[in-house]
Amino acid sequence: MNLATDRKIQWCPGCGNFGIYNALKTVLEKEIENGTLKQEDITLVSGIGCYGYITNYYHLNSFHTIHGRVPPLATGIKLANPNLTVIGFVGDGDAFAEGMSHTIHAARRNTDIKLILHNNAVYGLTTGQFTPTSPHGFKSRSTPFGNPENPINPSLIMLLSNATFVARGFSADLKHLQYIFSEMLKHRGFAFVEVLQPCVTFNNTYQFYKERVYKVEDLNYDSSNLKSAVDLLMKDDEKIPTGILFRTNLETYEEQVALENYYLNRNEVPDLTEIINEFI
Amino acid sequence: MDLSIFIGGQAGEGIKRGSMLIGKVFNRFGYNVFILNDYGSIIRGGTDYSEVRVSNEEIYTSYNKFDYMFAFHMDVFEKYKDKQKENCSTFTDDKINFDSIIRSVDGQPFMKPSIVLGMLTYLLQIPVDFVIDVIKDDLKEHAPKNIELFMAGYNILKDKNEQHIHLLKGTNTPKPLLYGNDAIGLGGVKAGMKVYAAYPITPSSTLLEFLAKNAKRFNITAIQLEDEIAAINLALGSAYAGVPSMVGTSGAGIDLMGETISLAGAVEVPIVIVDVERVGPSTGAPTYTEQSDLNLVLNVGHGEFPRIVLAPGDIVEAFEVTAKAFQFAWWYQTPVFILSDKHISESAQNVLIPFSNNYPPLIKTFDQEEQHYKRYKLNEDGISPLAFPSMKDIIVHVNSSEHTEEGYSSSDPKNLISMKEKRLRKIKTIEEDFKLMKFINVFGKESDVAVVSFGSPKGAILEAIKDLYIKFIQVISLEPFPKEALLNELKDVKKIISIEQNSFGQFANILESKTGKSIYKRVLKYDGRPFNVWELRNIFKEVVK
Ligand SMILES: Cc1ncc(C[n+]2csc(CCOP(=O)(O)OP(=O)(O)O)c2C)c(N)n1
Ligand code: SF4
Repeated sequence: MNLATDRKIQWCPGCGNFGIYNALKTVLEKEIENGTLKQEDITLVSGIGCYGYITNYYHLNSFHTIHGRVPPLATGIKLANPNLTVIGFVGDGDAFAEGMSHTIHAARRNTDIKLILHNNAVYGLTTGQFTPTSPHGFKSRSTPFGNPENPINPSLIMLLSNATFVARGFSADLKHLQYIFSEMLKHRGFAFVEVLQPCVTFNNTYQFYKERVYKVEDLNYDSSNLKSAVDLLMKDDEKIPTGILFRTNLETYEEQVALENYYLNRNEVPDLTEIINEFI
Repeated sequence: MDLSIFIGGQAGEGIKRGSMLIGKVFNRFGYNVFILNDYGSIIRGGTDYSEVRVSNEEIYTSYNKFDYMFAFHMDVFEKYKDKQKENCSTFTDDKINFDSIIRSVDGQPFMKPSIVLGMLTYLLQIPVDFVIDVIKDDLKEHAPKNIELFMAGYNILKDKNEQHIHLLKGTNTPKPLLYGNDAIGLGGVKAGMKVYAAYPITPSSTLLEFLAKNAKRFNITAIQLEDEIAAINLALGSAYAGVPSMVGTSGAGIDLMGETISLAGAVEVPIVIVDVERVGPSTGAPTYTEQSDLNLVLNVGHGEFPRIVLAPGDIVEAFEVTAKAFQFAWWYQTPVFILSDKHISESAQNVLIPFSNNYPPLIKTFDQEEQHYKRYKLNEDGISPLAFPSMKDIIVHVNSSEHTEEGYSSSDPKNLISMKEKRLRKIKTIEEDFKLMKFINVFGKESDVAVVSFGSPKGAILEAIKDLYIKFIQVISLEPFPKEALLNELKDVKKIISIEQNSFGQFANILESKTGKSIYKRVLKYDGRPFNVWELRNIFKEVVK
């Protein structure tokens, strides 16, 4: 099983997007080989940014959509066909600037979609402006004297928005990322994975992260407790936790709004002549 | 017999619900009914009214002059009293103490229209039992109190020995009495719509409410999203997955949907978009009617892509146009707009809707034999075969970036040209197909004077041309524009009168530029109120003279 397409990958050599691409590819290939997923039932969605080209490189159904709108589009796909595994790729600019509200609303609805955030804390494709996750003081092409804003913490926002699965990985740790992605695929409901992704060209954070990341799996950490997850992410120290930060099970949005209507391929139209008598 | 009844009060006094009940009574009593709702964009303290027009002749709009006026407050009466016909009977707050009648049965203010129904039943001598049956049917468990109020209204006038007439039972078979928005919703359902997504905005919200309420029996999902952007993206996602989807909004929402409308054109995913126009620009007058989004829907979305814009002129057409919009969206794989307005969507009429017509989904399917599915396969008509995720051995790549036939991103100059030209061929195909379909309606008599219009003015125009030597051409498809059909109908016409509800003359400008004909008289109205039959009639008489 090889999910690669014949497209030449166009990211800068050393870009953190490679790690995300490869880790997910390995996991999906394994799932397909094991028969736990069917190739035709996987659908990928990506927004606009360097990372967004990722859908060109998987031989899987995909919708490369516009900047910021991945969550509602992915929700619509899942709603229409509950058999699909819908994985959305989003950028920090894409999902936490332009599309911030969609991301929060998808989380609090517990839409059964997976979102993978390529968090490089910079706008890659538009060549190096600051994003909502760039640190205060960050010198970028649009903040030559330093970022005047304070950064947001995407995983924390997702926790507080009732996401039922929140995890964080580092794109240089492939094995750990594979573990997170396979857990993500097992989750029923809204799953959010933030991947710390160095942009070698505009924000090379390899060394910075290498010195700071640690895995909660190595500690005695209880990922079922929302409060401890929030506390962990609020902790004001140099260390950066990765791993599965929180997970719980709730009824999904699709289960609630689509009711028993598994309507895909059910082309029959209700008999309106009956209904219309009520209008007389 | 053509009478108009005014029921005026404040929000919360059941005017809209009550006018529907009264309309139902006349519908079952064998008459044609048209209901107009005039209300403000505030919850309390406004002066709202409904007009229930009843006739044994064909009617197509409100009349805007009244034979009976019932007003729960003096200010609403004062505001509209100059619209009384000669001999109009008025029943205002100072003559009839509506509040104390409500109190006497321990009722609620929103039940006041039941008192009016009682008074009307007396004034027109409609059999009491007949009306009580309608109330029971319509209000179910809430009927008893309303029947008490109905009787109270009846008895007050009876005791006063108020002057009355004897309205004979009409000869019509009762027809479904529904709002334009109901018809749009039913049109979608009839054509196989499964997802409706929206964000509340007057005057489109009742479409969301109607579909949400009936979602289970319609076997659809009707949902509210965080904004219009989310709504259209969700619907587009569902369509990509193979499910016919629609969004509805009003002008401001179309502005927000712009980028996704462009996306739909680029990725060639079908989507039906309803714009229920209201008065603009900006927040404008949200509860009043206008036709000023024509230029918007013809142009919204950046870049160049195929689109179809259809404007129903009445409630029956609202049903049919919506159903056809789905067929077109899925056949041509492109956005299709339904341009309605407050006067169609929030008015009600008893009409014969062709519910038994079928509108099967038309889709160009791909050849299963083909080894390698290409979402954007180049071909002569520009319409590539459609496939969906989940189909065995098929991978569907759709891509907002300019793409290859397979759907991969590519800005290679040759590729840019071939994909642009593919979409141009699609535009051409749509234009040619539309030439064969009837997308204008022609009414009236052969004449060298012709009225041209689109959308909701149709009703008032139809009534205003009665007995006059005037031809009326109604344009349904605004894009593609039925140039040939119009030129053919305008061959022997010397004077063209255009009618539209905006101040730019958007439709007139398009008609002139597309056909090369010049318009003799532009009738523009922009006070938020629908055209009056009698106003138009005076204008027409002046021109044919
Ligand atoms: C509506 C809209 N606004 C702006 C842009 C321009 N744009 C393209 S990519 C991008 C930023 C991408 O940043 P991010 O999401 O962080 O992804 P990255 O490129 O870093 O992978 C922007 C602003 C656009 N494509 N669409
Ligand atoms: S600019 Fe940065 S994010 Fe974009 S491909 Fe290059 S390294 Fe990756």
